[in-house]
Amino acid sequence: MSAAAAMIATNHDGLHQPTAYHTRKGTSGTAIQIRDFKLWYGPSQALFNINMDIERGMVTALIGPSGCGKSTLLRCFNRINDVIDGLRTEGSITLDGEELFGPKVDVISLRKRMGMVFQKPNPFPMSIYENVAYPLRIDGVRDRNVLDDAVERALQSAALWDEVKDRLQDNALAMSGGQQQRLCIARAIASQPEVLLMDEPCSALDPIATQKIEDLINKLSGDYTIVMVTHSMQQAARISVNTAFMYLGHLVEYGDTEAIFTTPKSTQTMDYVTGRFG
Amino acid sequence: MTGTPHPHIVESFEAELAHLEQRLTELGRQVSRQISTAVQALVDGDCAVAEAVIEQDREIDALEHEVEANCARILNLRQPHADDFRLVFTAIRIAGELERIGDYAKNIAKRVHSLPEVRLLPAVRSIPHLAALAQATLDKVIAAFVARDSVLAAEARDGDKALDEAYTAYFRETLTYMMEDPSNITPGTHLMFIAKNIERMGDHGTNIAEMVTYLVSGSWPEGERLKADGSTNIGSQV
Repeated sequence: MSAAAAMIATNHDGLHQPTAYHTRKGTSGTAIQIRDFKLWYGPSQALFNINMDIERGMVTALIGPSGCGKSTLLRCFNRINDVIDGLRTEGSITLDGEELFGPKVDVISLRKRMGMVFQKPNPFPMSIYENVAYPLRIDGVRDRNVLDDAVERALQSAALWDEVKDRLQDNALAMSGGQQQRLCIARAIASQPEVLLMDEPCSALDPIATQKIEDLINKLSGDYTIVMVTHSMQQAARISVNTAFMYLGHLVEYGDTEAIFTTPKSTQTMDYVTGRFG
Repeated sequence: MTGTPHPHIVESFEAELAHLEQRLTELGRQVSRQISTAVQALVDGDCAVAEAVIEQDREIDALEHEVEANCARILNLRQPHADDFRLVFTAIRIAGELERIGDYAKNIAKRVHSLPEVRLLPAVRSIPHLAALAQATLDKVIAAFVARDSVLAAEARDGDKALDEAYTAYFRETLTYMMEDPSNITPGTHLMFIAKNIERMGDHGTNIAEMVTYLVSGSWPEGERLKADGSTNIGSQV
């Protein structure tokens, strides 16, 4: 199904509102394709007929009020929702054309292709070096030179190298919150995933640390497909190319970020971005 | 997207936007009054009224600065989005356009003040017609702004053609008077500047009309607006 088809896909839930769909297309095609995707937690449906194409090498923001399903959707991409009892899905999500929910999918391999950064920095209680080397070690890499190169490359990419290169053996928990979050990003990209999933990556950080993360996200886009959940509309406006607005489990509008924040097509999006919701 | 009936969750933000809109509308109404008062001073040769117009322009400038300060404050503290953003963005520009129209009205009043006998040239009789066209455009765009009416804004934008045509005709008429009698050259030149001021008021009115279209729809009007100012070609035809 093409993006145009997704545009006219209607929800069957009582809202009867088709998704307003006006995304900016990249030059590298679609990384993640979602088609008629539905999700239930036990008897309770949390996602309704989601249809969207996530562009490769671009930053896509998911916004919406609490409980709208944006984190649920994000966590479907690397299937960390799988551990929840009673979770059931219908429809399709593909990465590079490969179905994520197929019976033969190797979830561990899938998660290697999708790095994830969470709301609160969660470094392991070990050295800075070992935090970044960890995903490679569990992948069986033992060669010290390979590990050294990978750690330096990841810390450089995460704009952390200059700050920590002389104390790589220090405990990561001694770092500031902003540094810890950049370390988590370095860890997430150490094994060179295709996609970076970020679930409110700056919500626990001060404004300066937030700006450093935003600058980092800007620099990483292009090399990585980045999908970010955020409650900060300013942040979504500043760093994403496309923005999806979700409400009550529905994708209400998905489009060019500038248009979403200047001329949204949907009244619900307009109400949300202007602070009229409630 | 033509706005939404729901109020903002933050009541003080809602009040700030309403206040901004009210002050901008007031600025528009004051400028509109300045046009008719300045032209009446011209027709009557009334220096006292002309002086009052010049004095009133200071209040208009102050009101423009107030609107701009409100916009700066909202942008800085509220970071508005969507139609709120478009309101603040256009309010800054509309206030600037209104202030320029006010300046033109003041310029008319200044000429009356320095040369009251300009009213003795018969060509002065056509000035109120020109001014009425400019004022009609302005009143229409203010109404379109208040009502968020893009159809009315488009009407105002296209309506400027009539003022351009009237200005071109006026240009010819005044030239004729000046050719008839060289003593008409000084008052005739003043009247031409006055007419040009009024023609420019119309242009600023159409700029506002375009901003109202953007405010309402989020996109700028397509295509060139209708123009009919042929005065630049008149030299070759005389």
